[in-house]
Amino acid sequence: MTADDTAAIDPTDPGFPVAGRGTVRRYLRAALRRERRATARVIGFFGLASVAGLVGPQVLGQVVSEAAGSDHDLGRVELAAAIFAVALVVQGVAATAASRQAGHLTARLLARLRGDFVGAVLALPLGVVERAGTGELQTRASSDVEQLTWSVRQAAPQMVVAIAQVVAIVIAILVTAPLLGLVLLPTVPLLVAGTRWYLKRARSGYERTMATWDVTNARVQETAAGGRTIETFRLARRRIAQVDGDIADWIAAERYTLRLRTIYFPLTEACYVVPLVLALLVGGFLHADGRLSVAAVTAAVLYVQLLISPVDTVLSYLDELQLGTASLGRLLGVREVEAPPLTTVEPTGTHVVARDVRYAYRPGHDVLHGVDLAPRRGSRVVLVGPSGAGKSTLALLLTGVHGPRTGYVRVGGVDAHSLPPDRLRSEIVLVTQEYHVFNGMLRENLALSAPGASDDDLVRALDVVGARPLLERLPEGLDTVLGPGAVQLSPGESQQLALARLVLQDPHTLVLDEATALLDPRAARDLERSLARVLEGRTVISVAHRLDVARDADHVLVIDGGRVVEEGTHDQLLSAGGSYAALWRSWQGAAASG
Amino acid sequence: MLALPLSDPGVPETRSPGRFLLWCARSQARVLATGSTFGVVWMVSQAMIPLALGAGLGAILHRSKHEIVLWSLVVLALGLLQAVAGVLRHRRAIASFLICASRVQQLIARTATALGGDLARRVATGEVANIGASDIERVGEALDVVARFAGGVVSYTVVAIVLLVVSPPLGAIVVLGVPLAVLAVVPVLRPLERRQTAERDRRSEASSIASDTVTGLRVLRGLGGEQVFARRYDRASGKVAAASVRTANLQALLDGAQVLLPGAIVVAVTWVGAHLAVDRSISAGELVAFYASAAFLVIPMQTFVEAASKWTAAVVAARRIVAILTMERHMPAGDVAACGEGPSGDLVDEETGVRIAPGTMTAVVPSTPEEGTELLERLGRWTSPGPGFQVRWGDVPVVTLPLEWYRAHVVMLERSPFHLRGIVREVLAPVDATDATDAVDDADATDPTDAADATDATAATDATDAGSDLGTGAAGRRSSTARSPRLTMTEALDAAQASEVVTSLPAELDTHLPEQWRTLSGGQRQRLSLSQALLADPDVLLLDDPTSAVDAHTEAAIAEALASVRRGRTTVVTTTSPLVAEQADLVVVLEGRARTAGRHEQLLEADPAYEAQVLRGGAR
Repeated sequence: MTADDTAAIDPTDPGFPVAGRGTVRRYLRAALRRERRATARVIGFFGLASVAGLVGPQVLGQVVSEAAGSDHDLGRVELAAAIFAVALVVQGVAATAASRQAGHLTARLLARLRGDFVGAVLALPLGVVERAGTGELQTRASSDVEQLTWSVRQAAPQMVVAIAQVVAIVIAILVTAPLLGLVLLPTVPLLVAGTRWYLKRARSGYERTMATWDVTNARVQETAAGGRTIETFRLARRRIAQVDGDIADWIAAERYTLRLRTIYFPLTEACYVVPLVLALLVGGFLHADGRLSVAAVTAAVLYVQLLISPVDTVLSYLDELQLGTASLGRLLGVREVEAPPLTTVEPTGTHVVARDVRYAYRPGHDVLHGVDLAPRRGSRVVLVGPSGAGKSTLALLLTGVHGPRTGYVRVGGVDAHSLPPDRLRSEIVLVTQEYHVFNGMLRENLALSAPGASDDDLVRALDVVGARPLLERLPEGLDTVLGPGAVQLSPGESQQLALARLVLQDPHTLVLDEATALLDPRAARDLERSLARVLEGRTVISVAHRLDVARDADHVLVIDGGRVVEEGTHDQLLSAGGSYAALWRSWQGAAASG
Repeated sequence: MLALPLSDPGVPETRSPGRFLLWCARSQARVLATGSTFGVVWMVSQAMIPLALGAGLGAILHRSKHEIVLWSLVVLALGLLQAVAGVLRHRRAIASFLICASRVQQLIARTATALGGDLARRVATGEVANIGASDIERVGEALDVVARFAGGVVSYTVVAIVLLVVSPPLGAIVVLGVPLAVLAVVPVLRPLERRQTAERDRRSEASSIASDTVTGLRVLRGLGGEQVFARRYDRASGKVAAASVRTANLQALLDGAQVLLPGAIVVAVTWVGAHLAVDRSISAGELVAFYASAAFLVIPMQTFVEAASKWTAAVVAARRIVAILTMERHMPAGDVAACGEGPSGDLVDEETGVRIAPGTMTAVVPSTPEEGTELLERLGRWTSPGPGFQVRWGDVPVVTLPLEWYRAHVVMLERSPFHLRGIVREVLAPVDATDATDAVDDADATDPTDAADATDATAATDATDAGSDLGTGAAGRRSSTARSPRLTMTEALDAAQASEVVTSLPAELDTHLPEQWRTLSGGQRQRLSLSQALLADPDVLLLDDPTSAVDAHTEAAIAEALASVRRGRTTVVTTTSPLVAEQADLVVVLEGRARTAGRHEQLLEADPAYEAQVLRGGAR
């Protein structure tokens, strides 16, 4: 996917909950329990491979001691080599099987997790989506899923293999030469302390590295995409300075993590070599004193050397695993969004009433101060007023997206925001200026609300919204794929599409919030007319910025500062001589209104 | 490490991708050389550890405590040496990466800004995104791997010589066997990579469905269709799982082979070595050294394979980078300073006959939005007029003016411009002396007289179009002294009715706006963007339907303020709103050509078609 908006360094808006460690652990445990057999097979094969891998040093120890001895038994040498060969084959086969099984298991686990996440997203309450926005969900759907995929597909199996190897090797050392096991001990605390020190700083360090790199990239990409804006406002030199500034930030972040590694890497390397040296030294002395066979010393030294690689793997994947757990927490968090209590009460009738509605986005800052609205069935109500007056908020309340702080909005006697979404949308539907064309066929884009609609229905709906020319322009008609990488619709056409969906949905009450604002005025006018014909008998509440729409309405509400300041028919408002009348006069121009 | 970003990324060699990579390498030869030196010390000391271990075990067999201590110290010294050399190598490798990656970013950014609006026309912007997302890293990695490659070559050679000297037959098994074992899996790598790519493609398909679903969530939850989208995602997710399984199957074979093949060499070494050791052709310690060396040599061999694949990938990546870097813009050269404050007289679009008088506000009411946009694009020099037509400024064809000068004096605000991310305050700030690309602004200060004399006669000599050109040249040319003082940010925001947009933002002027100002509504974006254009304060401002997304109350306020803050400057605004037209000095009605022109009130009275066009209700 594109770099899109991953680049904003601002801290992620905690709009959605993040699942706690307990939930994550429970989820993983349940998932593995469902895959009990597969999990057992994976661990079994990895274990077998690790044990088979222990044979080599033992064989070499035997051979060395055989060679060093005076009476050579070639038969025993041959036997040892043959055992080594067999063990190798076992190790290879077990490693293949384990890797294969792990791949299959993780593919299933991830598929299930992705499904669970998208399912939870699709069940989010409308009000939550409206408030929190989709930006953060977007991040979860893309980067968290990616991170988790990486952690589960790569880090987790590597970790399991490495841990199996470490355990097997340590046991082998203890069995071969128990005393030599002691050589491992001195470096353990150092390794643990060093790793903790590093991990504590590494995570934020690498996050900053990635974020600053993304910012740099996004800026360069934007410089290409926004070339015209840059040229228009002559920002070239400023852009170059900004890119250089972004690079400086990125380099600073890289320098920080490099400093961490400059300390941590040599430390771990030293921790790896010291046990090897000690094994050689102590083992040698023990042998010299006749307390340990040469075969045991050889095997133990080789085991200690063999230990380096898996320990290193464990340490380097710890971080990945941590990141994966964090991503899983964010994905599972979406399931913890609290849904408002829904009612099973059926609405009776189709009357929409708003009474003394107050609403605040932030506590103590009401944006609506006691609005009343009770449109007559089948009437056309228009809301006008300056930006920020609360028109759009009222539209959200009327359609049950949010519940009012006080007062009520009822549809057929039932609180709108407590109706289940699929029930609500058959009663009242909101269409706003914000449109979305799904990446898919035109047919799929239309039939969202009416999966059973016939082609004729779809074409008729397109007709109503004046999108016939669009349909004819499309190479494959209803089957034309829309969206990025396919046919792109203009904002105006997208809005027509949104309205066609509405026509197919056919609720008894419609709330249109600037739903034709992106069309050119003439097309908007035509669309509104033909929409009005189809919507005969439906109640239409529209927020409009063109006053001529208000003129044709049955009822006009002028909203200012969260209150209804004037209301009535167009003519009543004109004769009242208030702000509406003044605006209308300037709209009409002195000559026309005279 | 060098001071980064470089103050000057240099002039790249772009004749071929390979030459470009070599140029990058040459430009940072020092870092590569020191990195390689550390790489050699690092790898050779690692290579010596198995040999020292072998010698140590030999000492143990002799039960010589003195020698045991000696060889243990040697192993310790080698281990510490490789740790220190390793991290120094790592630091140089990262420096190589950073220098290269930041240099390429700088080069791309410089090319992109030089191309301006041209770039988007010539390549899909996704291509530039790809360069940022992967190509730059590929090129950086090619330089990162150099130090390890050098270490690999030397250590392999050293170990090979030592082993061959100690025991030619056993040495031959190791020196030839290990490369064979490592290279044997190479044929699997390509198909594996294909499957990984397929898996990644399926993943990104699923991810784009997820992201499409999330973006359209309001629609889905408001109108329905959740089940359809859930199923759609499940299908895509199922394909991801199937692709993962296919990758896993091949990956498993590779994992197995990587155990078995080098393992077979070790078994062979053990078996043959055992015989040689029993025969006393080699010592037992040497056998251990061979055993451990066979395991070690896998590392340099894998580095060789890695380097080869990274270098191949880098050439592919460099090809895409070079394709961007070699783009040039053909701009007519011209002496910017000599333009002074430019020609005098009306700005005329011959194609439509629209004539813009300097210092006035003209509203153009087009019959379709496209028609209005095309007019402004021609006036703003974003497209060329049709064959046989010109855009003239007085009697000077605008194409003869240096584009750089033109951009500084004529600004067009698009209907839906690309909004650059950033802090509001910085986004709005107009270019000034500190970041203007040149001294264009200073050109205003030069003596205007010579230019004025040359162009004063235009209106009269303009015989061909005089009959059809509408509008008035009578307003004449206003001298630059009539220029209103520059607007403050507050004034511009107030004029565009955008102050309340700013106060509604979490950190007001210090709020960070994302790309395309996605966090704002259409109306908010439009108002903020208008403030940006007003702040730029050009001599000629072309506004393409700047109030299409705002309500009537706001529109009325903007139109009024626009007339006032642009007083004395030239403003052309396309619109269909009577509230905007009312404020204009002149309204031009466009239908293919300029059909009629006059003040709004005059036209309302005289022209019923105009009345119908701007007052939609009136036509019924």
